[in-house]
Amino acid sequence: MEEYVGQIWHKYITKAASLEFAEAKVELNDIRHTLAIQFRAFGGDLALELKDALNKDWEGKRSFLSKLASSQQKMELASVGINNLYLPKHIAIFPDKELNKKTYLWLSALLASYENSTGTNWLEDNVKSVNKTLSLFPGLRRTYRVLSQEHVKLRSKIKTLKQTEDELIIQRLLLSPDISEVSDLNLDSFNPKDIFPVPLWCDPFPAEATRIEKKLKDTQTESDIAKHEKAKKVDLRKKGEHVDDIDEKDGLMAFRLDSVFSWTEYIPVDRTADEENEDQAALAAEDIDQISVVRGSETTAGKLKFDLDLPGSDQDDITINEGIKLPEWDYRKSALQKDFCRLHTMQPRKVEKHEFSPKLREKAKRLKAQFEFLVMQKQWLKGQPDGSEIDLERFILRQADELNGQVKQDSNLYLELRQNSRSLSCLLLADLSLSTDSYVNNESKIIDMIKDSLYLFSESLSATQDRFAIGGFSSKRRDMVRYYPIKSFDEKQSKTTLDKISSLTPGYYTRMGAAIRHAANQLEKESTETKLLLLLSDGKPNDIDLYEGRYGIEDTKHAVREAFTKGIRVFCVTIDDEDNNYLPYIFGSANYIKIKRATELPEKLPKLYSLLTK
Amino acid sequence: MDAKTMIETSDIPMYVPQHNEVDVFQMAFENQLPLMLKGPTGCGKTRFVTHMAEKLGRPLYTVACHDDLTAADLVGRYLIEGGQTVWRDGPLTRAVREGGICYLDEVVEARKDTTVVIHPLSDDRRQLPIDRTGELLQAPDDFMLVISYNPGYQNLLKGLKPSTRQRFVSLTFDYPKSETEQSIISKETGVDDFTVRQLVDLSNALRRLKDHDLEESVSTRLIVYTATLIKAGMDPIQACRAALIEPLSDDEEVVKALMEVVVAKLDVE
Ligand SMILES: Nc1ncnc2c1ncn2[C@@H]1O[C@H](COP(=O)(O)OP(=O)(O)O)[C@@H](O)[C@H]1O
Ligand SMILES: [Mg+2]
Repeated sequence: MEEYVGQIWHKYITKAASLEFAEAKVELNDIRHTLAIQFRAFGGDLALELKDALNKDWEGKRSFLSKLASSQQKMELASVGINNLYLPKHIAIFPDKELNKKTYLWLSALLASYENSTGTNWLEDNVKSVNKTLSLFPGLRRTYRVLSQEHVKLRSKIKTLKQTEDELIIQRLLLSPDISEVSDLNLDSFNPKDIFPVPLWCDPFPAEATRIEKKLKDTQTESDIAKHEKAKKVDLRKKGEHVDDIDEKDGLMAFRLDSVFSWTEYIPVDRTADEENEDQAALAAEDIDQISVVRGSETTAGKLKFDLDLPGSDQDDITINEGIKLPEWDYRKSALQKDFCRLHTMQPRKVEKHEFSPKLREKAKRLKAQFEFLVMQKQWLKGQPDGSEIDLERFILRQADELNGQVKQDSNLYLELRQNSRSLSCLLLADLSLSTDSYVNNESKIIDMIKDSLYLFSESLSATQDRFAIGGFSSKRRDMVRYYPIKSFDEKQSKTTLDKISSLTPGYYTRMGAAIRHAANQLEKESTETKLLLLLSDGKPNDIDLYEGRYGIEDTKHAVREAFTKGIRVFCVTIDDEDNNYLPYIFGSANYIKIKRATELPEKLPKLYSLLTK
Repeated sequence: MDAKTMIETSDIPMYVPQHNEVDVFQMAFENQLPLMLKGPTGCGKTRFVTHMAEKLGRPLYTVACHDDLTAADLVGRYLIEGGQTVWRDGPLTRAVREGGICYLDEVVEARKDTTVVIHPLSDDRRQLPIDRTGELLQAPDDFMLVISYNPGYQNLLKGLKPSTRQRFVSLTFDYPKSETEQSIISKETGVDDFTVRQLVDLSNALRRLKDHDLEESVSTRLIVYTATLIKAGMDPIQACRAALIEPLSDDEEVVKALMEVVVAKLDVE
């Protein structure tokens, strides 16, 4: 029986692919941004990012998996998880392009109200969600009616799709989603694996959950020896990777670190204990070669390279203090965990004397001159003894006084445009995590761009009256957040500042929340009227413990909020050029900017500052 | 509705309370305390002040502050009329003389020199010095100063100084809860309940997009506009485009995306 079902199912699948109407295909990439906005406007979770649905093997019988893997014909279905929502890379289920587009719209509305309420009864979950969506958005009723009718018509035309009782039920539910009919069904005899995929519904096996659960289970049952073998294998491959570790897309392979961690996002298990975390991260890394079958060519190399890169303690930078305790936000508990992190102020082991290139020094000089001019806000000063305009109000008052017979006459009758003295403190906080060690072009790395930026920024600001400080950060777990106080507010800009900047080296991870909290505490002590925290970064928050994915994003968002309540505005300048949703989620749409070309960062930063503080 | 509220609301501009703001206002007035209203634009602050002024039977002087507004604009100035100089009271001075309510809307926009007149009026001195005429006015008990302020991310250099902020009893406003807002819209415009509910639902969904896809939030005012257009016979979807979506964004792609959501919400057969 099993075998038989499998065969039928296989035919369905292949047929499903041939069922596609290539000429009416709609690509997700063409409307991705629109759909993401719509998903949120339909009420979907703001924190989720829109990703391509993982190409699924449809959970069929094992024997068919291999065949499927070799064929390209797989069905992608929509689903929603903890970190992402997934939509098919393309939709071509109707011969009419407009209908395929409408299917995307429908799915984004459906996903927004989809609740995995029963957890087990996929049919009920789907029928319920369809009903909910249609009652919340009655304007979609007509759309849904057309989509479901057309789709059912097509289903009934597929030759290999036997019009079994189950299939007829599906068709009936598509046409009239009646929940009472679902509750009467015996689900045991109704297995989604036997059902021809329903592209208007959500995936009965949300990729985020099932895939990793299964993989974890598989891996955990392996013996220790087997694990060792695997580790060795990985090691070998890593060596192979070393040879061509600089490819044009990723730059340094260390950059892939982030991809490793984005994979760990999929592990749907409780990860509060640190020790456990690392193991699982490692598992996830191992899993990548399997996952990469599905998703391009990510490998575990990044993780391994990273581990090799950790400096021995005798070469590491110097810790100046015992550590400052800082809280961290756990979004799952909705609680601020007191004294959760320990931040250490660090100092480079050796500060090298270094000159920035003549070209850059020239730029610095030019910017400095501009800043003496530009940054200063101009204001019309009234009642001046001299000026470019007449102060009409003063003049009228004087006329009035004169008429009143007043003798002592006002001679300050001019308006003058002058610089306004303002009271502002700005702390520039730079991400020094290992990902900044990747190349942006043949000559320079991101870290070089960051150093150049710090240089130009500090030179420019030294020409103004604004108070400014510079800090850098990285982290390795919650008890080792590293903070480099490059220049404090009271320090004068000097050669030492510049030497410190050029001695910075990238390393470790990006525990953004803790760094922001520490910087905000510095700013809070300032007595100026306006306080600005400028964050310079190259990507998402992440660290090797649980600090990644949504956890890290939510903590950083919370840290930004905390700063705001202290009267500090946080603005993020990033060179992460992916179409990422986390930036507005963390900082707000008016509070971040993406610099497309990292090489433009150094010059853009001072200009941005003058714009921001105008 | 009982008889008492019937009488009260008869000729007073309609106001649906969000919390205890009516009590707070009344107590502040009775105890000669200045009041600060914080909240986004179009959430009912002005309506609230108008309502309270009527209710308390005091004249209201509203000043919309802008970046050219000086202390003289508030206090008054000499003008030349027919070869004569005449002193003209500004709105603040008039309110002080008459014992009325002076409402400075968006006070952070005003020039810094306005704090010179705001400060002595908003502490226990309750005085208004008029330099030009050499007068020193003592505010009567039924004078009240109300300011409003929109604490947004955007105002980097325009925050309210702590020394000003800490002189005021403060109320925080936000867009009303769904049911409250629905009752506001239906009382203001008389549009049918279903449409009102869909409009408020939609607006709340759009509000979540603030700081994310949109820089601004749908205000109660915009929903009132939309409902007004619908009541006047405009097609609901077109009304939403004109009064709800277009004012929120200049980005064509965003407008287009959101219009599809509007249709999903409102295009009922
Ligand atoms: N609580 C409320 N009761 C009655 N009408 C309200 C209320 N809140 C908002 N409105 C409506 O919204 C419109 C805009 O409110 P307004 O007071 O001008 O906002 P703000 O002063 O906060 O910018 C009002 O004209 C009124 O129609
Ligand atoms: Mg990083």
